Amino acid sequence: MPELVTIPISYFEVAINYERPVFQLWIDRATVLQGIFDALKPWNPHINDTEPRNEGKPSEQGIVVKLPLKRASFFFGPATCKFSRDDADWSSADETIAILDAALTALTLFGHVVLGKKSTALNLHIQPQTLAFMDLLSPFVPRELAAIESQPIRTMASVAKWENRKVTIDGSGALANGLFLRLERDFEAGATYEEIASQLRRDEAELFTIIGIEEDRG
Amino acid sequence: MNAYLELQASGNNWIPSVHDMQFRSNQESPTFPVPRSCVAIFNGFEKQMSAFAAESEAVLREVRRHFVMPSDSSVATFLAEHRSVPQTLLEAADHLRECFGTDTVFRLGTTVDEAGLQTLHAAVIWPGRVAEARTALARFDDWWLAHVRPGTGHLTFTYELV
Repeated sequence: MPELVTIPISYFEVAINYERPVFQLWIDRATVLQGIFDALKPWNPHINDTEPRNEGKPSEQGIVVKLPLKRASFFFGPATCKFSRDDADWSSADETIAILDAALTALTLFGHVVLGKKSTALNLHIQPQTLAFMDLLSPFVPRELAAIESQPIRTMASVAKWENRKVTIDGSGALANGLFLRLERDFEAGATYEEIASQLRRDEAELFTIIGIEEDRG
Repeated sequence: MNAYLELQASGNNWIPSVHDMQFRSNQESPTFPVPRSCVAIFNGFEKQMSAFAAESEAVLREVRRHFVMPSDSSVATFLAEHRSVPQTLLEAADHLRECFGTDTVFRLGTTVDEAGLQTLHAAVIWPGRVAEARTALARFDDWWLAHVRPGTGHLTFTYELV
């Protein structure tokens, strides 16, 4: 019987490197920003929710457009763009896709960028309803490691990386008695949003099964 | 408690920023001159609200790190309406762990009595024997009774046996 859990905190990220840097985006961002701002109009962007980032390496500089009501933000610079949405869940996946698509379409149209691989990350802070979080994490502790000390392990993390995928299982630093899961997967540039969403959903379900948890949607 | 990833947040700050025209003390010409002291109070009013909301959000995040909160908004709403309680909870967290153990889970919940009075319960989820829970709670009460202050009457500490 899987442990019922709630997911009080979650966020979704997509980072995309361009096929080659577009230096025009470093020098003159106004046209692209205008295009993205207009494309995001259905979600009521406000000029004060745009934020230039002029510090750091050239690749880190750019502009962030935020949609506070949707808890979504979109950053673009001369070499990369990044979308993030807090409180992301599957019931709002269509809306998340619509916001992301609007921003990316405007960026490619007005910024003349060619988008490369899409690096996605689904981040979940999970709270079990009856078990202690270490009860769920302890199967992932190698026996040899656990045997180093006689005292019980207080927390642990496990990270597995593949060519296009990475999974992190950790204790939550934000929730009492919580787990933190980060599911990262890279998709080819041509992957559709629907393919990405359904794959990530399968990844989440697979990991939940391995950990022995089920989201309490009641 | 995390072991690996230090950054487990998106990095976005969603505290509402101050937008133009949400509040202006001078949208219309006043019939009478506004006293200077009154203007001073309202100057930066929305910035104060924004800072207050940010502080409140930060305290709530800290409470979440120590106490399990229900998936509905009942506890968050209670904490927003009783501004001194989150600080009391945070002060109590260390003492609760000292009395009940570092790995013990503490859960928050609210109840409403017949008179409509709402109370916040901080319950220790106790897997051991009842006598042990009572002893630990008695030890915690020594600290709690010495720190009861106005506004904490809506807060009770208890235990739940599992």
